[in-house]
Amino acid sequence: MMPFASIAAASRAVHARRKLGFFRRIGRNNRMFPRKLQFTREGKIFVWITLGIGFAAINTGNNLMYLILGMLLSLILVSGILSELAIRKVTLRRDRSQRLMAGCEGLLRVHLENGKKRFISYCVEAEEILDYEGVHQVPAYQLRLGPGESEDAFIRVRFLRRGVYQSVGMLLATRFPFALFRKGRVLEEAREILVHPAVYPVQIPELLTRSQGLERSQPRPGLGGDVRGVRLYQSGDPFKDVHWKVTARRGRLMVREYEAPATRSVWLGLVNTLSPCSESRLLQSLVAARSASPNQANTDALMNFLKGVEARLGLKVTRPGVRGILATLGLRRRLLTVEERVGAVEKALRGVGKANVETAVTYLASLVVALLKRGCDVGLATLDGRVELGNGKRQRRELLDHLARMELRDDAGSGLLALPDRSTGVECLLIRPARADVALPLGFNHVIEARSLEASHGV
Amino acid sequence: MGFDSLHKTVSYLLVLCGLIAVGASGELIVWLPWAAGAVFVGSWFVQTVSTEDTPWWWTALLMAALAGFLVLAFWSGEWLTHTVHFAVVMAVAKLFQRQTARDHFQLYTLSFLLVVGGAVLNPEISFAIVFVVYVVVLTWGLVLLHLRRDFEDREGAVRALRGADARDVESEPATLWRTRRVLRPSFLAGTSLLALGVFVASVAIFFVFPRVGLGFFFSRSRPGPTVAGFSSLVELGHWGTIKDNPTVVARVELPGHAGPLAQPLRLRGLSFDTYDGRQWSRETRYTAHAELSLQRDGRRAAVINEASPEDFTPLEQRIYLEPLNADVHPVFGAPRIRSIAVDESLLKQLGGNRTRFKQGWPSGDITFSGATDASLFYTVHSELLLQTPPGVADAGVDYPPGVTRLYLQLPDLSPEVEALARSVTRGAVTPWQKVQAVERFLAQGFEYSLEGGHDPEDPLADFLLRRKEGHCEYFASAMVVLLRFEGVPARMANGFYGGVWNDFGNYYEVRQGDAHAWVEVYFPGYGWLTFDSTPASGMLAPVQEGWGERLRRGFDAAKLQWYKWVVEYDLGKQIELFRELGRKIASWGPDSNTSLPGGKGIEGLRQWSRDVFNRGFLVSVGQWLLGIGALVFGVRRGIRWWRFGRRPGMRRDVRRAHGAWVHLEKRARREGIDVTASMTPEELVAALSEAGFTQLGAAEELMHLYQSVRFGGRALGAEGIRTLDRVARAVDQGRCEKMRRAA
Repeated sequence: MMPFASIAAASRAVHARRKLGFFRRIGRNNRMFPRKLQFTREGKIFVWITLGIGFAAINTGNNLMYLILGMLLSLILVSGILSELAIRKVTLRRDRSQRLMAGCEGLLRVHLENGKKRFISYCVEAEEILDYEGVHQVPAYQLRLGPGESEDAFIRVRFLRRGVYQSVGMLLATRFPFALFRKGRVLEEAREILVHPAVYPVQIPELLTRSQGLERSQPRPGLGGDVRGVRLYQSGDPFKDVHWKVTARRGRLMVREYEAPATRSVWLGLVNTLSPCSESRLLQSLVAARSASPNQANTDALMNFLKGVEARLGLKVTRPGVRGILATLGLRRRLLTVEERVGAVEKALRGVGKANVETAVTYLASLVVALLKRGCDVGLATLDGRVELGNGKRQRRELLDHLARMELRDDAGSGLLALPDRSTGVECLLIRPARADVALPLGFNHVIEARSLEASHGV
Repeated sequence: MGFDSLHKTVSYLLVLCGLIAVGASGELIVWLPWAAGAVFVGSWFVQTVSTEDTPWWWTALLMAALAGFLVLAFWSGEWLTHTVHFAVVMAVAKLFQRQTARDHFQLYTLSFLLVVGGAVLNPEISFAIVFVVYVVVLTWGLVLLHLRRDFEDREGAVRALRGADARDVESEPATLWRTRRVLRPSFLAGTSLLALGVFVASVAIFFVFPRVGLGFFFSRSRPGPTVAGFSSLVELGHWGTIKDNPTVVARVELPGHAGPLAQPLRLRGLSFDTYDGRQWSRETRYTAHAELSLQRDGRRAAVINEASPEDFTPLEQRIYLEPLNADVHPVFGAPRIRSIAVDESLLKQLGGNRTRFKQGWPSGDITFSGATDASLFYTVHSELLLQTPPGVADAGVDYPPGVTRLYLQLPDLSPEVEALARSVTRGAVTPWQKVQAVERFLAQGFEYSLEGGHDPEDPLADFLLRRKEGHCEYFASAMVVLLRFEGVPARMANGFYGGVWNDFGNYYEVRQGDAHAWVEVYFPGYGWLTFDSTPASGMLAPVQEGWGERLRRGFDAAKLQWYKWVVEYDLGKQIELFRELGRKIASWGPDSNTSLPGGKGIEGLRQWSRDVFNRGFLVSVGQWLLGIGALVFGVRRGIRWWRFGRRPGMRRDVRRAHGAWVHLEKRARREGIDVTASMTPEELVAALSEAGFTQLGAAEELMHLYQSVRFGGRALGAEGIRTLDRVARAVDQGRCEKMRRAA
């Protein structure tokens, strides 16, 4: 507990917390404004028609037009009132921890509760407010929520890339009753969604199977074998392993622990930097040579290299869109300059490098899961830190969490992978991204290049 | 009814409302409503296609229709009508493409266009009925459209989430779609209530929305059926054909009168001064314009300066006149009109600020000119002479020259007519005595008849000397001619006489059959006085009675209210409405001086409440509530029966099987077995087996039957019912031997 300089300071802190909590409560649940209002396609047409009818009524003085105008305005009015009633006093609650996998459809559970005593809420949707590219989301939908009722609903979501996503809150919205507009209420409660790298079936490299004897792998504890002893229950342990007599005697949940064969251990490593690939180095050297001595030979070498990379990566050398049209009219130069082309190629190569590192992460994650399934103890070392050797579901979660949170670092100032003293029989395998020029860090005795698993699985 | 069926029904109703709204206007091409109706009905039974699968010839057909209507519109200049025609074609064509929410929305938009077209072309009360239905159905339709849109969007979103080639998109929305979970009674009732709310809000906004006509495209008031019979010429014999016509040509409200007048209402139109032996005409020279003076409330009034006798009763008439098909347009009103009041919108309609009201001299006839193919509303103040003014019997013969020039005119008539005039008025000295004599003569020996066939050369002589029967024109013409022969200025006047009192709306319905002609005689110092020589049997048009007539009057009263408060609702009425509302609210204040029926201010309101909400009122309200409650209960039971009771035996089977099982449970309890609420059928049978139940086989068979009917949805049928009865009887005979031995 944080010490306070005085009782008064403590009191002030407590009151500040309370005040903040009070506003947080208002902001979260009871505030009616602001509301997010978004017109649907039909709503826009409806509004335009209403304006048109209003204009016609005022100009012609035809009272039946006023009658129709009254109908249209009353539909808008009723729509506003009922949509407000639908989302008012509806509370949302999320599950605390949510882990998803990149590229796969995941479900985020939300709990909806209608706090109204008399009114039913129809057609309410809930979605996370995620402002990221590459995120597909289908809001949770509740067709009917009676007064006082609560239901669980699921947001379907698919993240294309792994990482840590910050949701700034949730949006509770409805298009009830006429789908003229979508009215929403923002619940300002940020949370983190951790997206693990995608995992695919992968073949364990031969060097690991030979050295670790994984071709004769045995199941891990919980699936059979001699009982070794009892230990405290841990989350994830199967209930059938619970030793009820010991539990009753000791008053705490105890599980059987089985004799395990000699463990097989593997350290995996990944240098998570955007190190320049060989092509980038070559480009830099050609540019430097041309700058130093701008003769025809150097220029030709550079241009040939650029053409080759542009053709391979499908880059355009002409200006797009309006600028292209202006160039055609002679108002601008159509072709990109050499400098612009060099910049574009560098950017593209950097993007390729990034993609290669992500491919390596996916491969690494798949390898981790495969090894854990085979009963190995797996550890992980990256520039962001280390996860010690272990096995089981918890270890799997820790490893994948580490890979999810891992960031790509720039080349300059990156650290070194550090491994503990390598024990006999522990293999240390470095995963290298394709085309990356990575030196073998201390402690690692093998390097393999990551393969694209997405392509082989048709993704 | 599933979701799809309900949505289809609602969409069809919307289009039907649109078709009726424009069809009832009578402005469409004759064959189009029939063709559209046939296609409308046929499309119900046809499988719909998606917009993408529309065959090329269908599109070509629609384009051809568009081209055709464009050509017609160019040629005729009637752009609005032909636009409506094309909208009708598009609407019925769209009925074949109702698959997605977008298709339905387009259908709703087309139906809306038709309703808007109906609002312009058809201002009659039929539009009111269509509008009410349309508001309700549109509310339903939009709610269902929203649900369909939600379902489709979610299905699309799930597909997009899983990729373009996702094949196994399991439909949580499609599941909802197919179930009846959506269409619960509470949902249906709520939507109906919502529709009612939308309607009430629509009406409120209609009355409150300010009427500020910018007038770029000023539209006429409602057109309507035209009234024949008023022209600057009246030929003897033509009017008889319209005597039986019940078409309402005018509606006359009498503010300040709760019921009809003591004597029939007479509405004067035009007078005729010149008779050529076969027809009457009007002298058009020597006309004068009436002065318009602006009154404080913004309504203009024409004041007619005319001498008035002392004993008269003022009568205010609010006249709603249907469009006239005539070359002269009289301002109708009870004789001796003193003033006319019209509003700004009517003046605009009649052509702006230029004076459009004319008063003829010396006839005093008031006519108007302008856009007369539309209905009119104006207020007339008249002076009624309910009895003969004293002293008129002694009125002299000091006639103004203008009167004698016009109103003693006679054509070349048969000398016999002149001789008749002299013989009829023998012994009469004063003009009054002569008038009385002629009236008496025509009242005896002459009969009223609508038959024509008088001598076309001299119909009047034929009437007076030979046939002695005819309709009001003959009687009036005869009286005028006989008086003119005796030097008494007289003229024929026509208009309407009688009418039907409509007690639903407290106004007179003036029908075409009420058209009438009478005589006006000039008396110096008294002006023109009205006389009617037509026999009583021919003065009033026949009035129908019975339930049909009551219904018609009720409908006509609704029509008038529709015209007054909707079609003709303008800024003036709006201001008047809010002022009245404000006065009423102010009158409820504690210090108000305005009297309520029970007294002043709040105490008056309390007294009024006590007077109104008395025992009799409460009893009748209670009766109404009871009746409504019984109706609602009956309807709910009927719906429940319709949903459950009609299925062949299903619910009865369940009740029967359940009843048999409950009986077994009671039997088991009586035998000493502890039967709990949570006990399953298998557990009960197991308990019976342990207790040595003698009819265990029957109990097992009953268990299987019960479970299959109650939970498996099986229908028993006649054989099953017999089996059920058999096992139930057997079970009833069973005993638990072990329990008894233990006891």
